[in-house]
Amino acid sequence: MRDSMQWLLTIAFIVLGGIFFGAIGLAVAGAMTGWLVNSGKRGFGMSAFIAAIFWLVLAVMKTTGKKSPQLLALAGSLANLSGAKVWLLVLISALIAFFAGGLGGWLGGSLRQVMSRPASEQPA
Amino acid sequence: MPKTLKLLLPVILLGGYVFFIYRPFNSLPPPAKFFDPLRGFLQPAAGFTHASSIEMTMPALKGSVKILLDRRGVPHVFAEQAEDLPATVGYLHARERLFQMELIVRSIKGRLAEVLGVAALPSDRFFLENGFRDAADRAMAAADHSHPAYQALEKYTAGINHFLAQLSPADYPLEYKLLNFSPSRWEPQNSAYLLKYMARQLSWHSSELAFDRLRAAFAPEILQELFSVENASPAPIYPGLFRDVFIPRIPALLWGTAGWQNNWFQQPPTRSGDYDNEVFHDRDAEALLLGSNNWAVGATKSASGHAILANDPHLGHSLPNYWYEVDLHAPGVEVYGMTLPGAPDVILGFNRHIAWGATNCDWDVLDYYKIELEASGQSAYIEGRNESLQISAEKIPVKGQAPEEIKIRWSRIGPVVNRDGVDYAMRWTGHLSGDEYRVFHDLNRAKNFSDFTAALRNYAAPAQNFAYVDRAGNVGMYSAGLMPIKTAARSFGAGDANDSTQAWPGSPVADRILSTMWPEGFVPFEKLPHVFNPPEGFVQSANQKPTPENYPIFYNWSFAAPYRGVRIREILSAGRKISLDDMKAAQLDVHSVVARTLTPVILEAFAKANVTNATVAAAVDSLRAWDFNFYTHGVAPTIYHSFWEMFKEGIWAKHFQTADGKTFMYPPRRVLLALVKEQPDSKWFDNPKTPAVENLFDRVREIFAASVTSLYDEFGADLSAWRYEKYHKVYADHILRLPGFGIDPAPRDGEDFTLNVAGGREVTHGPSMRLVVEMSDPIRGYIVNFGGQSGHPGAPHYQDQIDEWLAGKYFPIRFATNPQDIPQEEIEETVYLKPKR
Repeated sequence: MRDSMQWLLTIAFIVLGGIFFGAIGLAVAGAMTGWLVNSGKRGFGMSAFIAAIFWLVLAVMKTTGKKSPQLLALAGSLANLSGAKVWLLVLISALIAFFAGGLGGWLGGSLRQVMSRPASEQPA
Repeated sequence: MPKTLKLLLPVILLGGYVFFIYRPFNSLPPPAKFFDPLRGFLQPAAGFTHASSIEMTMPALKGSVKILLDRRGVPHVFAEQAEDLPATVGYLHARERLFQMELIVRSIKGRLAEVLGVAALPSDRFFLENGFRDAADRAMAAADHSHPAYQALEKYTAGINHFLAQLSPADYPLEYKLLNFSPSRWEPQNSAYLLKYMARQLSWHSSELAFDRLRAAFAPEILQELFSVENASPAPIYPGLFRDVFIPRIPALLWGTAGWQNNWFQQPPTRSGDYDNEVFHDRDAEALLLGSNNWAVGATKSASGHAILANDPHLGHSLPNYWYEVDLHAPGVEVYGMTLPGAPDVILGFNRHIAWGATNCDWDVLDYYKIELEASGQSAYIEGRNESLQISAEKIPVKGQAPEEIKIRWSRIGPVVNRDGVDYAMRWTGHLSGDEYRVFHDLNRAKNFSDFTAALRNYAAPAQNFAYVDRAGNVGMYSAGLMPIKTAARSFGAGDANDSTQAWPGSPVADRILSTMWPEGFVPFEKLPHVFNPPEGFVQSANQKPTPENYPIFYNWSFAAPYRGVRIREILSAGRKISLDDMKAAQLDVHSVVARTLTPVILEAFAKANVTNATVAAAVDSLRAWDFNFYTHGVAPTIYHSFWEMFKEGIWAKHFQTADGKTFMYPPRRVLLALVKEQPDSKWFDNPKTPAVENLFDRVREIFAASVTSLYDEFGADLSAWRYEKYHKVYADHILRLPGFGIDPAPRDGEDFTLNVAGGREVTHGPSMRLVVEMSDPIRGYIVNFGGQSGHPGAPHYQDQIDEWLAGKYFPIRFATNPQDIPQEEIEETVYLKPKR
């Protein structure tokens, strides 16, 4: 499968998984991506990257979107609550997504590799 | 790498990670849920922002409802059927204030620890052991379920639950996400819990145990002098005579006369004073009394010829505030005002015919009786008999740990509680069944004074002074609630449950003396203090003693200091007619009658003294030109206020503090001010810790110099930097005290005794809303809420009225007659609620 198709499918999996099931959805979408690319490392990288970007974009949109600028104030209040900066809260969100998608991708890639038999073991 | 290990590693890591991010950490919510941008803290709660238009079906409705939310988030509701208003209000309350309502209900039910953890356990124990939930349940069970008010509660419940049914976890208010729990389904009795919560806020105070400690440590003459019964008030709510309630057969012991009181102080206390106990009674008990103002002028006193009413209830400042403003219209009901989220009706406000407002009565309606439990703890000795207690075991769920087991014990007198190691049975009017939900339902529909008083007849607690005006220009006041017929002894120390001569209503002694007159054990409704169209053309109340000396019934030994009442009377009886703007100005009045009395004393103390300290001299000078107004830009208010805070403490602490720093209850402020005015050489001004004998002026100079020094240390040598705005600030926390969700401390004018009340230096309570309304045609009025309409932190209407409230501004009231009355540009959202066809 061509790279661009893999990226498109990864984005679709992650977005759908994240929208409907949250972090656990990102992990499952990551596993599907890993399976698709047939590589634990590549599965981790692609899924983690897309998942993190997806939640980062959503979080930034939520806090800076025209329709709800007051959410920024709320995030600021929460930042006071934790003693952190507003952007740190957004970053934590992206970090959670990064590892959920990434670990899922690693698992999916590894699973496919384990399940697929080596060529030497296939009948002639 | 072996194949199994290659798979095992990501399986373990992912499993561990998912377990980690979906698990709460102590008080923190699971990070995967909380930081999810679509479900967590960044996903606004339902109702956080308002869409331009919403349409939905609500099965509880009989007809269509149109709701226009204006730019302040105030709903103008137009219903085809009157019985649909409660469901609509329930829906709106749930949408805007769900967590606040949940918190109040959980408080009364003793279920806070279930969601807040072990820190809330003392609160749960308190509310359960003190019988709040049981009393509310009993009141609801005894309610007339066929009355339209109860039907309204059921509709209101349906409105809330309709909103809950549509709520997904992503739409929960932020507090639910932080605490990681789901909203509870609403039940009709939750409204009864809310009313008990308010009764607790406003009428749960007693000086009896504090008096027992005083009696154990001080001579009767001292208590007689400093804790005397407040017989006369300089500005009672009802200055007229009470010939109609004068009952010569009531023996003097019911009157709280000085002679009787002295005898009581000489009796031994019901317990020894264990001063090493942690829990001592508040030394400045008066400061804890929540107050309010209301006043009204009739047509004869009004500049426009229409009656005008003003009301500003003083409550603890919090976000969200207690009040939710509504404008409700349906055939037969048109009402505007403030509701309490958790109950369907307008509590303070007006309809097409009348307007009403309320202040706290400060009657003593909470009494303690020392009770001797039988060894097994199953029964107690009451009036000479061994009576079984009603005991129920209760398990309080606690987040993160095993449930806590407690026993709730009720005697015939009331709940049995333990205070500082001693068992007491308590008697409180709030424990008795009242029909408050019915009162407000009927008030909302009242058309005249007769309807108004008929509605108040069912009112039990917390006792309130209800001010009244109507379209016909009438004005009135009615102090409503259960006023127990009891001896004054019940205010000056705990009684003995086993002594039948000390009992409260319903017991033999009360029956013996009073059964021929008032067998119910309470002052009959008709005999409660009230007035209609007084000759002076106005009524006023500010929690002061309601009645003059000749009112024959004892109902408390002391009340909120009378000075706000004095000031209202000054303004309203000045000879000129009063306008709507005058009413607003009076609510914002920061002139202090007490400062007007005390400042000349300060000046006199320094008049002949040789002041060597330049800062002290400058501070005294700044008081000379002061007009006793507590404006934020003033310097004199800072100097005076700092002195007053140190003065009241400095005089009493020397006498009412133990060696280890614990304090007894201090005498009331009226007593201190009377000493200042009348006895400058009183022994109470002497500092017992110095060899010299000081008088008032010596102490004023000493304390004034100390207060100036403390201001110098805080603000520097330049007096122009001592502006009141830097010294005196208002604080308001979020109801969970979450930092960042309250307001930033802001400069606050006023002081303890000004009409625009702002007690203490860090002001945490005051006018929870301000309302003035003129019963003209059309009805005109102004209103401002402390905070805003929304209960969602960060929402546009969470605290959008704070700046106006602080600046003393108001919003004009738009009491619509039909939806077209609301200009399009003022409409933020339109909600159409349709019945299920």
